Amino acid sequence: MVDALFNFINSMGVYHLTVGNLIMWAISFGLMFLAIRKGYEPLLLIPIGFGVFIVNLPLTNLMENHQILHIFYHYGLEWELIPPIIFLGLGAMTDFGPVIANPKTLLLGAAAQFGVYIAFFFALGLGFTIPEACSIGIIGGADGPTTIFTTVALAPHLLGATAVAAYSYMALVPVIQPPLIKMMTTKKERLIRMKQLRPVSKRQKIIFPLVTCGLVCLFVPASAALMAMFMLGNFFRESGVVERLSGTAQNELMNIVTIFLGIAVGGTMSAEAFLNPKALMVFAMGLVAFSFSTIGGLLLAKLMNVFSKEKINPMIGAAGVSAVPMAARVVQKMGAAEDPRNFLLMHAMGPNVAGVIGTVVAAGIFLTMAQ
Amino acid sequence: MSVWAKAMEIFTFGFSSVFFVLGALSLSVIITRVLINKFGGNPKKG
Repeated sequence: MVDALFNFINSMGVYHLTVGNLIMWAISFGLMFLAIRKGYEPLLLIPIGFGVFIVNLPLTNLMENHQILHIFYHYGLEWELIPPIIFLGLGAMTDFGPVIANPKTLLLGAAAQFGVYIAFFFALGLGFTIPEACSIGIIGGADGPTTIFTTVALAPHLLGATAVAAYSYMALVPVIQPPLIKMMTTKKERLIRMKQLRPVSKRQKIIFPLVTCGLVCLFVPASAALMAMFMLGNFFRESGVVERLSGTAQNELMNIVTIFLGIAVGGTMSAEAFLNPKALMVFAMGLVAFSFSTIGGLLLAKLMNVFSKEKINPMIGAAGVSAVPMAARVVQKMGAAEDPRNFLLMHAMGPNVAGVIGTVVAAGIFLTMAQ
Repeated sequence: MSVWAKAMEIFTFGFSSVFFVLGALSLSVIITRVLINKFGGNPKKG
C-alpha cells in the first residue's frame, strides 16, 4: 500500500518540480507579462511564453520524440519550413516603394549589419565556436525568422536563447535606439529635412522582387529559401492579380505558422537547456549586436552626407536594423520631436526593408562559410 | 586554419558581400528605372 502510494506520488509532476522549472516559469510569465501589459511583440511572446511554461511542467515530456512540441519543432524548425513561410507573409506585407524610390538606402541596410559582425567577434572572444558565434551575431540583424533559420542550421542548442533575444530586442527597439541615435547625431543633423520620395511605377514594383530574388540567390545561394519566399510574397502583392494568395500569405498562413513558431521556440527552453551561462551571454551579445547595427547605419548615413549634395537625415540609417516597421517609427518619432513638420517615416522605411534583405544575405554567407 | 583567421575570413567576405549584393541591387533598381523610362512609356502610368 505504501509502495503504491509512493508510486502514485512519483507519477505526479509536482514531485519532480525543480528550482530550474520554477525559474523558467518566472521567465515565461515575464515574457507573457511583457506581451500583455506592454504590448511587446505579443504575437510571438505569447506562444513562446506559453511554450516555455508547458515544456517546464515535469513529466509531460512534450519535447520528447512524437510529442506535440517536438513535432512542431522537428517539422517546423528542423526542416526549416516555418521561417521561409513567415518570410512569404512578410513579403506580401512589405511595400518596397521607398527603397525603389531611393535605392541608395539599400546601402544603409547593408551598413546596419555591422553589429552582426561585432557581436560575432565578441562571441568568439567569449569562447563560443564559430557556428555559435554566427547564430549569436545574426541577432544584430533584428530579424526573428532569419535568426531562427541560421541558428537551427548552425547551433540548434542555442535556439531558445537566440530567438527570444532577437524578439525581445526587436520589441525593445524604442528603448534601445533613441539614446544611441542621440549620441551619434547632432541636433543639426536630426533637423535635416528630406525631399519627398519620387513616385514609383507599378511596373518597377513588379520587377523589383524578380530582380532581387535572382540577384541575391545567384550571389548567395544559401539564402535562397528565405529570399525566394520573401520575394514570392512580394510578387503576389505587387502583381495585383492574386489578392487571395497575397491575403492568405499575410493573414491566415502567417498567423498559423506564427503559432507553431512561437510554441516550438518556447519548447526548446527547458530549464536544462536554457539555464546556463551561455544563454545569458547570448542575451548580452544580442544587445551588443543591436547597438552596433544601429551605429553602423548611422555612421554610413553620416558618411554619405559628406559626399552627397542632397543631404539625408542620418537618423534613417538607424532604421537599417530590420525590426520592420518599429525602427522606422522610432526615427519618425525622433524627427518629429525635433521638428514636428519633418516627416521621415517613408524615408526610414527604405533602409528598414533593405535591412531585411541585408540580414538574409549576411545569414546566407554565415551558412555558406561556417557550416 | 585558426579560429581567428577563419573568423576574419567570414567577416571580410561576409560584410563585403552584403555591401556588394545590396550595392548591385541598388544599381539594378536604377538601371530598371532608366530602362522603363526609356522603353516603357510614362512610369507614373506604370
